[in-house]
Amino acid sequence: MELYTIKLEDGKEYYIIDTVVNDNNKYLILANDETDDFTIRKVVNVDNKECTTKLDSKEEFTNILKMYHEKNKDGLK
Amino acid sequence: MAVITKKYPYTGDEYFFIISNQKECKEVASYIFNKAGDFLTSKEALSHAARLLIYLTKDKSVKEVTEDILNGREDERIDSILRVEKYSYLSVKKQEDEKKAIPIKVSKKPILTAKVKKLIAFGLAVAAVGTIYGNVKATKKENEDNHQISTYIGKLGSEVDSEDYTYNRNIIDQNKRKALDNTYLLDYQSIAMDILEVANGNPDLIELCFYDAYQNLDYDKLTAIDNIFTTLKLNVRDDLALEGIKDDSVYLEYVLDNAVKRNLVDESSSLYSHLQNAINNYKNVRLTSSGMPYNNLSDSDKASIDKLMGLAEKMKKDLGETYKVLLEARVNERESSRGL
Repeated sequence: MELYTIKLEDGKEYYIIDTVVNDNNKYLILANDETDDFTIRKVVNVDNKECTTKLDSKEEFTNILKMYHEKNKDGLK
Repeated sequence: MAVITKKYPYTGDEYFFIISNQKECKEVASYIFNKAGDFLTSKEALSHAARLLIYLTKDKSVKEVTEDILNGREDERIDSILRVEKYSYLSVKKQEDEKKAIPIKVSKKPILTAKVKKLIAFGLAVAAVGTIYGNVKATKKENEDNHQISTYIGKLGSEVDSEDYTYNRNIIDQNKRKALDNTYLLDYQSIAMDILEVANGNPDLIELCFYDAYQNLDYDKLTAIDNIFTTLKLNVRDDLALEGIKDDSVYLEYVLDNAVKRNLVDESSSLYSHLQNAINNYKNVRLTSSGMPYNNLSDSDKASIDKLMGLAEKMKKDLGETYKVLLEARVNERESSRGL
């Protein structure tokens, strides 16, 4: 199969393993299989271009983590 | 999945390891959410959590990695470790420090399905650990929670070292004694927690432990159920593994549901209707009259409740075999990992 990847500011390429939508914001759940890095980015619109940005707060991060868990907890059979 | 604790000789720090392969990662995430996450709600808990390490095994088995850690070779597996501080708190802090928008440029890349599963599992484990930190900030009941987390982690560690069939039986026996003394609220909590810990998150073992604890009490059946499950209703947090067991009638429904799942009762049968009616009547009696609901039921409803108790006994017998086999396997694995 194929997955979309995205390159972040650290120069590493991350697989987009899932997306979560909350309060009309879209979040990308990202993982790098080589370095076991995991992170979340928010999709924002800047000058009519889709960009990623880091999250605003720890609460936002935790909230998206919870939503991601809820979405996938039954999916790994 | 294995859980071990290890104290490092130079720093004296005690680390709490969860070792899992990727297939089990969902269980690891649930384990943390349902157990540790529920307790990690204070500053002291934060220090414990900082020492919580999750190993996602790659080419080695859970047993082999457990041996590595017990023998001081965990650094060999360093690339597969999730350090809480790295992947949750600190990563968030870093995110707050550096924030700028980057245009999205996506591309497609082939990947094995198994690897996708691993990545999702990996993310789930991180999510579970990350949520601990959310909980840290979510409560102010520090003294109470400090006590709980210390007890919990300590128990978990000692349990892992000494757990065997006899030990589990002893815990269950202790629970019976505790159940007979209904004076202290803490004892109720201990009963529930001990049962949960003995069962180690395994739903079948939880069921068995409950049946076992209730079955052997010298009270009549319904009093025993009242003692144990009122305990749970009062003291066990709803989101522990016992979700749904909140009062006696829920327990009866729990038995009925499990009987259906195990094909002991057909959902379309008249027997099922009788049992369900009896449970409904039990609920009504409990709400509208004092004393034991059972004693105020009609003879036919009493017979239905007795039938349910009989089903519980049958399930206990069936589960007993599973319980024994599982425990023996765990003892063997532990002895083998110690080179015995």
